Amino acid sequence: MTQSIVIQVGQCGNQIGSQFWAAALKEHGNHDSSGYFSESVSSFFRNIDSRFSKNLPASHPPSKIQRLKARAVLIDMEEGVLNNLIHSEVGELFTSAELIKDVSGAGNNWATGFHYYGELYKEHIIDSIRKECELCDCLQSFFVLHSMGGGTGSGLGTKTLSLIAEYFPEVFRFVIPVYPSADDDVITSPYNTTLAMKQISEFGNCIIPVENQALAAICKQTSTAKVDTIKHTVVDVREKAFNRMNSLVSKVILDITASARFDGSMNVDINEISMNLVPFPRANYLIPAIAPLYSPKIPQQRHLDAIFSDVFNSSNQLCRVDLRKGLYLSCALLVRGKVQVSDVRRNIDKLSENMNFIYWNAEGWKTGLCSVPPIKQQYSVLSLANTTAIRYTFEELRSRVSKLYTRKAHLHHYLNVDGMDIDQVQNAYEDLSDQIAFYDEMETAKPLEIARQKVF
Amino acid sequence: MSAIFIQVGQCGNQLGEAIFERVHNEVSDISDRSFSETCFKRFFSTTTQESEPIANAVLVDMEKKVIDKCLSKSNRWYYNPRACVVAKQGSGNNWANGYCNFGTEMEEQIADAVKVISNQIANLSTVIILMSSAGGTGSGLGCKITEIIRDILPGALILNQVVLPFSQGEVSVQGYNILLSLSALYQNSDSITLSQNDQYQGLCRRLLPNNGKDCISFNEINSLMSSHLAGILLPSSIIKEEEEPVQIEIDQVIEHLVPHPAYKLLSCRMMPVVSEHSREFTNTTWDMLSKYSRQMLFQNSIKDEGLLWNIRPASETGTCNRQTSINRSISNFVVCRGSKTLLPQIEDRYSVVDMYRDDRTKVMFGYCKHDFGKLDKSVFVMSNAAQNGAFLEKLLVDSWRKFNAKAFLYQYENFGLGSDWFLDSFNIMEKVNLDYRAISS
Repeated sequence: MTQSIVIQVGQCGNQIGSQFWAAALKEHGNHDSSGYFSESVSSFFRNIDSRFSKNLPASHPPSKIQRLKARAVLIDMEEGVLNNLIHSEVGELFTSAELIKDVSGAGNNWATGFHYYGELYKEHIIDSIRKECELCDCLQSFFVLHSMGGGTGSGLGTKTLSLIAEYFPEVFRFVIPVYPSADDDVITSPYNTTLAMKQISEFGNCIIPVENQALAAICKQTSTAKVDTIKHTVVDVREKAFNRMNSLVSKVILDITASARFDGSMNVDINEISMNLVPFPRANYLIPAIAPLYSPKIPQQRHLDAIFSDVFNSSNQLCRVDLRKGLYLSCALLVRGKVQVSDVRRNIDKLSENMNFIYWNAEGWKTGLCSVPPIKQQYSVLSLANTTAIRYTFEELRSRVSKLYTRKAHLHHYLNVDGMDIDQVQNAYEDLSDQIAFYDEMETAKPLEIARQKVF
Repeated sequence: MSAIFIQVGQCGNQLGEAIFERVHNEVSDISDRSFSETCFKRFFSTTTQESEPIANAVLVDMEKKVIDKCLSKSNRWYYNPRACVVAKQGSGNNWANGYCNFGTEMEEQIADAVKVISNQIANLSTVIILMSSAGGTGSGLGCKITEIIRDILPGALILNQVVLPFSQGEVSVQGYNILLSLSALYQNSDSITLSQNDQYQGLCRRLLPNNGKDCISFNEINSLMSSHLAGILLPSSIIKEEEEPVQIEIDQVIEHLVPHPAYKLLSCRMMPVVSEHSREFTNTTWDMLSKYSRQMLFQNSIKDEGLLWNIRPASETGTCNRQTSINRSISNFVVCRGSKTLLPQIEDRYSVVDMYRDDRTKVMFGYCKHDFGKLDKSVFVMSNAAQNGAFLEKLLVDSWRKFNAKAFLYQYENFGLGSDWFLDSFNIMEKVNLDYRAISS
């Protein structure tokens, strides 16, 4: 079995991370409460014998769990979030070697994160990641969590991504970037997002975008609270809301890796996701959607077929995209729980009738069946859709950044940072346009009628 | 003479386990010692007189989960843990990864594992490779293993049991993987049995009780596939008047079914189609079984439902015109299992199978007086017939379209498989498609 390392950068990345580690522990504990360090636990955790500070491998027969440590690297240029994390209930999972921190923060400035802190902490970051890699038996993937709108997450996060692409090119890079909502309170977030996008498009193998708006809407839908917890709130209620939003993102990571960690009749290894869903290196954005919607207070018992159709509703997406407006380049359904292959087949047949796939991938489905369901649910489905409809999200971003860029507003903050110049901004802007043009081309592509080979 | 099974990838290993379980169940219930010993020798070997039988199988998978499950199951038979080849990371549904990367890396280990089993066996005649065609390990590494076997066991005949995925996507790149697999196998294998997940799911559905939910798992599909294969592969004999029955070896079957290297695709079917719990109460006649199984062959079906009885050979209908929709055979192997076999009746009915090149007898009959699967009569047919290649047309059209859009090609190039290899594969399979279509016209 293979291992994955989670790299969480910035406030948002680390907050998602803290939800993720708590959920991962719960999931493994729920699945196998015998306390043995099996191969599946080893995919995200290490087992330490603390008397000798020795790493215990996942052997046959498995040894008892002594002390678990997360396979993680935590990066933040401000102290607050990391300190909270260390003192929280999952704090014990992390060693100081895995923490890279500073005090002053990146001031919501991508250039500060990427260039200033990037140069300052480059060696330290590579070192920490390398140490973590050496403790893996067979490292298969990185999961990089960060926001796009801020400074540390977007700047230093994408710098880290480019570093792991350079130093560990064989390892898959899953990026889970959090896109800001349209009414984000950081004025320069369109710049940060655009500059970061150029990096993740180039260096990420699979990008699974999530949007704050979508997450908030899902939480609202599944919340039993009477107060509108997003806009008019007291600080700690708002924090609870973010926790719920972050737990949705952590569910995506757990569902993607479930089939690799647990048994099933149709295993989907992590490297199969990129193989089946990314037809061209440029088409690497996968829209996540989950069903049933996770809520700790209302464990929903939806009928199985309803779950399959729910997962194609826009209200179940973690990044809202109008699927009817675009063409599917490919689509994955990762199913967990007591579901049989005939259930999946029946639903795919039904759903395909209303879905437009691109002409050269008319049956572009990838299905996975893992027998272990998520906690408190009988079954669940995660869909990852590679659709040209995401270009509308990118077009919105482009129009927001245009409003600033055409007047060169706020650019001096970026250009004042050593290593940053106007070309980078221009390139990032053009790259965004190129990305939109690429999806446009896919949408309007007509079949090339090339004759098949003649044989005698 | 014995066979070695090589189970490759998740599908191959799951199917292999089902086959050995089926064979063991069939054989341990038989009281005729000499027959059960013959059966055992074909599929199992024992190290000492008292120990449990060990399957003549090599298990290969590039990630450990499925093989671990096979090894840890406590059956009345076991796999040899020294005949397992595993890696840590799977092939990622990438044929090139399975063939080029793992194929080279694991070549020595695979050869060693095969030797472990072949040393246990006295007379090795056939190697049966169980693999899927849609994934990365089964399809890619399975093809490489076929080449390796050619090399290290030059005297053995190779039968590849290939599972074709559901046509409505299990794997996005399945078209490419199937194309690459079949073209490689056509060059290195002696015979290729095709089992389609779609057809077997349909058959499972047919067997469901009427009030049952539509709930079919891979266990059920594998169980049916393993029945069909076990029914063909378990020993049977040729019976001639006034002579002792002569046992039919698996390599004889393959040689009979594949008279010409251009036609290597085989398919299986079985009658009666009846669920496990209904078997004890099933009453059939040999006449009915042979009639239905023959008609299923004519329509390229594995179900006994929806048969159009007007599709029959010209010699039976009395017309001069050949019915174009009938499935013409090149060669057939028919096995009848059950204690009250009426030989001439079955042979007569099968002598009127619509054959390509009608001049020679192309139906081989095997008999076994022992029941199979609690059925007092059962008929198994393995055929080399025109419509075995019917799926190729759509496969070639879809894959060609994808190839010209250059979709997913970079993933294969990453492992050294360029467009030239693809073009060669298209060439080979276009020829196979043409050859099979020529039989029908």
